[in-house]
Amino acid sequence: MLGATLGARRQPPLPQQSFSSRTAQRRLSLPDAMLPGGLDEGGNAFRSVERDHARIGIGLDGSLREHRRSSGDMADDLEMPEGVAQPVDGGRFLREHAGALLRRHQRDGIEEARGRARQRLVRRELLAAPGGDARDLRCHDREPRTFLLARSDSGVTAYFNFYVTQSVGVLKSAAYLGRLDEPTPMTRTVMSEIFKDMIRDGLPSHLPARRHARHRRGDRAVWRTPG
Amino acid sequence: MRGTGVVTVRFGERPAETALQTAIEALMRDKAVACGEIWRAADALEFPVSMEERLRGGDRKIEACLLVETLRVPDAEKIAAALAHEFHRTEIGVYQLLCEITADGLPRTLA
Repeated sequence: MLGATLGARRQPPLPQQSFSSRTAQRRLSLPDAMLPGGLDEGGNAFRSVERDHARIGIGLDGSLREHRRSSGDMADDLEMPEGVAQPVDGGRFLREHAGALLRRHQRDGIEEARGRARQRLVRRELLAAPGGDARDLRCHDREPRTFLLARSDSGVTAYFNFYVTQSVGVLKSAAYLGRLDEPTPMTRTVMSEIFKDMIRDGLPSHLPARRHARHRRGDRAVWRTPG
Repeated sequence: MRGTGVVTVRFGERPAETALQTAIEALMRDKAVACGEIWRAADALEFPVSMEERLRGGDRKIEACLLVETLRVPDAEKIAAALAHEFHRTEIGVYQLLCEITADGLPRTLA
């Protein structure tokens, strides 16, 4: 695990990316922005901020306050204290407020359902022929990166570490092999005293025909301890 | 990676690829499955034994691996149980994604 990380640091710098495949997936999964009350009238006004959860939240809260203020009958227009306006229709404020909250709750449910539907759409895109919104996901799948996973059985934790390289040639390169043959003092300690029962392999990935294009250039090295 | 749960089916002998493809096609119809891959080992002769490997006392090798990513770990556990019945003489593991490290060197912790 540590050796893999140290090796990755010594490799030539790679171009930075603005967002990961996970980020791209989240973006694709975002529900459409909606205004309070379930009205889908955000349109272009909300389109510019719909990638940002926080800003959407603020916008919705602001609209809700605005809605409550305008529903106060004549009180706001005449700048009368609320206590004076209440006798005119005491329950109206409460009904309006409760109605807004109820609609908001319903809207959350609709958005959740939309999010699930969008996720299914993304998954189908991945299965289908290349194209559409899944293009970004496929692109980022080929980028070099390292994944660390873990499991725990009877109090013993096992780790599964794999990294994606642009080709299997990277794992055979003189620079990479040189690093493996000249471990640092820390790596020597980790490799000889901490790691045990290692399974390690280079694995050019292969996928079923329909998805082969996604990972055609992605090769993996697997590093797992203990088995 | 797409999900946070991963099932690995490790093969000590080279499996029939059609069986793996059939399995993965069936799994992809499960809405809990996010992604599936078939890994085949490169020829061991292509990779010399490194000093690091000697320090570890040698590494075991595998011939192939069926990797299934699920959105959630409990789904991975169910699939692992099903795959254990389907693929005998294999080693099956269920893992949870801890983090990924991208080319910019910044870890993205997920657990």
